[in-house]
Amino acid sequence: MAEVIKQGIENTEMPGAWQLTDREIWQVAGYVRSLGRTAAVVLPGDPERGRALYESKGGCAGCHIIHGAGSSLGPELSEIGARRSAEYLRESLVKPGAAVPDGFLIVRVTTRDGKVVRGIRANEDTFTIQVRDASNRFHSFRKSDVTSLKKEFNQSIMPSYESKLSASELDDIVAYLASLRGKP
Amino acid sequence: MKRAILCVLIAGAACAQVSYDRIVKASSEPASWLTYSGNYEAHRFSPLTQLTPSNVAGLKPAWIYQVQNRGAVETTPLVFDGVMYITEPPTIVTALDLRTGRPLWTWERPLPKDLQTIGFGKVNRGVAALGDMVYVGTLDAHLVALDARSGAVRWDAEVADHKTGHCITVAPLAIDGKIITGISGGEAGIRGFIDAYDAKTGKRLWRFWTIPGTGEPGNDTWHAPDSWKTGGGSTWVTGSYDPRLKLIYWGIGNPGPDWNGDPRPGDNLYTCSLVALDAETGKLRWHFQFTPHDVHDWDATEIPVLLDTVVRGKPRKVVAMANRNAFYYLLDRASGEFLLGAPYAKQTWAKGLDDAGRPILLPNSSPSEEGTLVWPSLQGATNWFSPSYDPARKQFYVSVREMGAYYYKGEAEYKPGTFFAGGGERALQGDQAFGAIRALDVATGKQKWEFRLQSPPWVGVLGTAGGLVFGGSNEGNFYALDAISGKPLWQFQTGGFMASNPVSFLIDGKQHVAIAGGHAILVFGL
Repeated sequence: MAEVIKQGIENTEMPGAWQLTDREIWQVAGYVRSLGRTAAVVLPGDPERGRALYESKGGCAGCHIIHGAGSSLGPELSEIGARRSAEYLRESLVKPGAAVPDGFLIVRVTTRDGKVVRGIRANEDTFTIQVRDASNRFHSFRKSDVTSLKKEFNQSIMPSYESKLSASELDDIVAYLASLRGKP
Repeated sequence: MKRAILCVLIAGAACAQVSYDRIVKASSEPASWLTYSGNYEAHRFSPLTQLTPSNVAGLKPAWIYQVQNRGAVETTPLVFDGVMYITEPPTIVTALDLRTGRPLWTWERPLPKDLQTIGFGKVNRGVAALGDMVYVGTLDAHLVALDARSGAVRWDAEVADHKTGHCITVAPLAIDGKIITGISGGEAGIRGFIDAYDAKTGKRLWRFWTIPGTGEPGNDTWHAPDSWKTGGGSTWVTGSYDPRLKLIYWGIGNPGPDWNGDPRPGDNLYTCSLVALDAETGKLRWHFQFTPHDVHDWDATEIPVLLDTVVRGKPRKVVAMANRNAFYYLLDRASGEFLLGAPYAKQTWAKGLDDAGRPILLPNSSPSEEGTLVWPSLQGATNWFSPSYDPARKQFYVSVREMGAYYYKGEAEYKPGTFFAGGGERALQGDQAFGAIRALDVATGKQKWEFRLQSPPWVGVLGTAGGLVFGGSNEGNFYALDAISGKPLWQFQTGGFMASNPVSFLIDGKQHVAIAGGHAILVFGL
């Protein structure tokens, strides 16, 4: 990584960091490596019980993939414990709209012929928008055919688990998610 | 029959001469695109009328040329005598057969291993043409003349030492017997300049330093001793030229260090200014500073557009500029007198402009250690990509970036050939920012229409006499708008990020438009 920071990547927009000393480059490399990784901590829940809840009562696999298994409506979770803190994971379960990941903005599209589609924005440009609905089907719209496009910031398709799981069950499922740090 | 073929070939050879007179009259030769901005006045406007609001929906790809390397393709193609001349990243010139897009020749410069591009990408914005040569600036800060027929090097002039962060990304400007070039490297603490070279020999004829030296007028605007020596003032976007006044107009970049103004108290001339230079001598005729003592990296390296209009009831020969600082300006182009300044985008740094055009600053708009939120972002309300002036409709089209940023102030220590910026920014991204194409009344700067874009663009605009405005988007849309209403009439998804400028010309007598998008040059016709 230090070499990439120092030299950049040829024929791309990534320039070399000519402005940094070697020591500073190693410091930046250390910082970049720390990004998106959180330290493993001891949590009150039981990850094994959490795994069972994830697969049964929670129904989480209906929307998420872990190590290749599950459905793909929501974010892939195989490394979620390395990238997100336990506090963040708990908040995502209780208030799913509090911090919606990039690429999961909810939009509601109404077309000229009265069709309404609510779902995750897969992509958008000035003239078109692509949406994945709750049944995980893609819809493609030209904006010239759209009469209303509402962006629902701080909303999520995922339901809140605040009233669906007990406090200890939430602890268990958070512990399970926090244990997901890459290779099984 | 053989004689007839020979005559055609000879006629073609005679035509492959881009005389100075031909560029002066570029607007009378809309079949070609002879200079970076289309004409010396920098209108980036095509007088062609074949493409119209009623038929543009039928525009289709004619050919696509894929460039050889990755990296942004920012070139403005030049088109004349059946050939399109483009530059490719990092420093490649290619001549393409205009009818088919097939390469005729390619010239590539080996770049030194210690090449630095401090604060910008390894890009090039195009060639200039004069006589039987095309001219290109290189990333290692040379100016090279190539034979237009073969790509063979005619001469190679070192403009500056690349080891100190000097680079050339700008398309040169060819005028009467001279090739004008600017320089990049403002974030490396260079002392900027504008150079003129003999078009035939490559001998340097004059140099205008954008930061005045000791004893020169303007040096006293650098209050701290020696701060002028690392003052920046790069010149990385092609200027315009008035052949009657024989004045060159060129925008000057930001002062160094960028975001920490403490080491350089004073107005810091001629940074963030427009200068008018005598083309024969390179002497300064006048200057106008848009952003004195800039601390937001708002280079004045936007396109200075020369046009005649009526300002407050009086006919004036003006230079118009939509500046990175979010104000649209009109200046008298003979004297530099400030005539008008009006915001064309959201700005939160100035209460307004005084009678002389100097900004009246708002408090708490300077970079700080904790970050100060200001509109526009350091990329500006617009940037290097070109505006267009539509003389028929008296409209000035500009690509606008509506984006704010947190500006941070940091330490700045000058070491030759290293980053000398004194801070940074964190721009508001995603759905917090957007872009627009705006049509301004050229005489007042008032908005006549707006077309919203998904995100702040890096693509310029092209107006046409047929009543269209062409532009591009970050998401790869190449599109045409109605010049009267701003309504979209056609779009094509090119499949790649765009940072370039459109042009228009004829192929076999038929109007085409071209733009660089992704890693390709795309040409469209009916």
